[in-house]
Amino acid sequence: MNDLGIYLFYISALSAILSALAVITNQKPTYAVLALTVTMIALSSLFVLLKAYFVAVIQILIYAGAILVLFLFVIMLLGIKGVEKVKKQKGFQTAANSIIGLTFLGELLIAGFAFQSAKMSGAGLAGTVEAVGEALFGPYLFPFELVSGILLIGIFGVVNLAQKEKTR
Amino acid sequence: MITLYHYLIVSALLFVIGVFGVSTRRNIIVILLSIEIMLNAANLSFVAFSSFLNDLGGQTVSLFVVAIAASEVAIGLAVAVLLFKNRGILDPNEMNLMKD
Repeated sequence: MNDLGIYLFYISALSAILSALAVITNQKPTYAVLALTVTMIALSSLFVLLKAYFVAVIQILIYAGAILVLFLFVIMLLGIKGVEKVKKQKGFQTAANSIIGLTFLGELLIAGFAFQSAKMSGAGLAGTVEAVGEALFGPYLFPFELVSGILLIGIFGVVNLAQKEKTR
Repeated sequence: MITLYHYLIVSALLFVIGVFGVSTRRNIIVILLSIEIMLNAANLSFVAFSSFLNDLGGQTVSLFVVAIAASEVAIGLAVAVLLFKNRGILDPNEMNLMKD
């Protein structure tokens, strides 16, 4: 991989992590959604670096284009101002939370340590639309149909939840 | 040289940031956003493995994760809207009707 690829990786990874930190520390939910949009775009560029072009475009289209817009609509319709009470934690609670969180992070890093020497594959695998389409309609046809069932049931659930209560 | 481990480090950091968001924030919308961060971290891990191990299954499963995340966000936001209409606040610590 040339130097441009390495620079792009570090820029995208750093912006993804920093904007994810901005999501969880922002006091207004609108700004949190906007920071998450930056995270999605950074992740999409990481996908392009991994030669997964179809997943990168789907990430922008569906995540940043539909799901986050849905979040923004709900926040706007509910009129949430977003100043939430932050309960002052006791001293040992902060330390315990940090220790547990860092232990979990260390465990994840150790679990991935076995793959340290895997090299980037050559020009063999490219996640183009044709390749992913052949995989979706080939070995992964059954999960594909199941996901359509999940989406249908999701629609049923949302319509059921959104109906007005019938007066008795 | 960017190895697979670099991508896994990014994925692990994003996942732990999502976990902190879920456990720390007191706004249901932001909790749902942190769940989205966790799902994206898992997606990155899937696609990284798929690209480095020459298997298209990771990217296919990543598409399924996106679809499932979409339906989960829809239902979660519907529940959050109903909670807000009934209670007026979005604080998960105040939803304690089932508590003693």
